[in-house]
Parts: sequence; C-alpha cells; structure tokens
Amino acid sequence: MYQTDGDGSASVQICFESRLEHIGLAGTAINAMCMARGADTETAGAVELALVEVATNTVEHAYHGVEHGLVRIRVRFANGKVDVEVSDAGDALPLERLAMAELPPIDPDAIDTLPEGGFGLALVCMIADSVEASTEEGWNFFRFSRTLARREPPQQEPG
Amino acid sequence: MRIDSHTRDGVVVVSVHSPRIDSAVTPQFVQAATTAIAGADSVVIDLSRVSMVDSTGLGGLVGLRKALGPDGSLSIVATQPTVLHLFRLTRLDSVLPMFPSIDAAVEARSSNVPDRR
Repeated sequence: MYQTDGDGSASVQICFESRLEHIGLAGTAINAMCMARGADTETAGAVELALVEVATNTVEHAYHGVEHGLVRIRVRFANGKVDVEVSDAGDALPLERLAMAELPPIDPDAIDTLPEGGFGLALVCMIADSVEASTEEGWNFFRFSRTLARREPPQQEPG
Repeated sequence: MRIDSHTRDGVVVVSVHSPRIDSAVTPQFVQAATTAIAGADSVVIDLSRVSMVDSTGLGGLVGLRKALGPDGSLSIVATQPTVLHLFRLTRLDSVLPMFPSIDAAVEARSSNVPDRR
C-alpha cells in the first residue's frame, strides 16, 4: 500500500508471512524507496540493513521460525527522514536487550573467541537516529528513524 | 546461492555470485564455502558482486575464519559501499583484511603481508 500526502510526505505498508526469504524483498524495497526519495547509496543501504536486522529478529525470535506469523512494516518519509515501524504478534523483545545492545568485542589476537552473533540490534542502534520498542494490545512494535543524507546531484558539463 | 572457487598462488579464492548474504542464504553459503576451503590455510572470499551482508552473514564469515585456526588467514574482497561500511562499523575489518580486488588480496597473501593493516 502506498500513499502520498499533500505535504510531500509518503507512506508505504508492506506485510508478509514470517519467512526469512521474504525479508530480502522488503529490504530491497526500502532501499529503492530511499533512493527514490534522494538518499545517497550509503544511507539507503544502512536503512535496508537496519530493517533486515529488525525483521530477522522478528521471524527468528518473536515467531521462533514459525512461518505463518504476520510481519507488518510501515515506512514513512517526511521532513528529510524515514520512519520505519516493524510489528508482529509474536513474543515481545525483552526491552533490556535493546537497552544493552552493543557490538560484541573483537580481539584480533584471539581468533577462537571471535563472536559469530550479537551484532544485529547493536547495528540497528548505530544506524538509526532513534530506536524504540513497545507492546500494545498484543502487537509488538519496533520503530526507528534515520535522517536521509542526500546524494550529490550530477555535475553539469560546462557549455 | 551460487559460489565458485579456484586456487591461485596457493590461495583458495571463493567468489560469491549472489547479491545478498543474509539469514535466508547464510546456511547454504557457509556449507558451500566450508566444502570449498577444506584443507586450505589462506582463503580469499570475493564479495565484489555482493551488495548486502547482514549480521547473520557476518557471523558466517567469522565462523569460516575461525575454522581456519589462528595460523590461517581469510581476506575479503569488497567494493560495494554498504558492505565496506558494515565491516568498518563492526570492526571486523581488523580480523578480516579488506581488499579492492582479488589480485590485491592474493598478492598480499602470497607475499605474506601481515593480516592487520
């Protein structure tokens, strides 16, 4: 569902069954939407990554891999930023996990201790300007916002 | 998920021909790459065609690096800004050296340039 408002804002809603293979499509879509709104490549890729991380968390941890849960994504572009909301009706994200999200330590001198997980939520917090999670009437909401850095217009050839 | 591999100057080069390494394909990627690098000490993973790696994909790459042991090496070829940014952001570029081309990665490995740059 796509909707534009008179103030230049636009909102999109995407819904899909809780299957990992659908997440890439949603990520590709939000990347393309950010680019269409004038974002630079790095920002569009970062927003895509944040969405993919949140949606993966939903499929794997809220629905525990059960494929018939509903994942709902709302995207709104306004005032030079993008607001993303991912909601599900599965198990809620423990709020302390969000509060304590940070990148796992990397020790180049101890290869066998390198972390193979624990990056996801920390990445979302690093990418987003703001992050919040809540549960309302049986639905879990994860919201994040990111200012859209705009790509440079192409240089005009002289003459 | 499609990968291919070849050996060059004693270095196993694994090229990924899919645009994404995410939670949907990482198990396949790890399985295929593990087979391709069996017995190798020096490995280059070519991600130049990959535009998106998520945290699950990162975990898979770290697992491959750990499987090579402390004396092994795993370098990454990446050219896409989003992928480069991810490795810098997570500081994994400190343990998975990044190169702009297969030539540069193999040359560095063949001439024993230290991992950390």
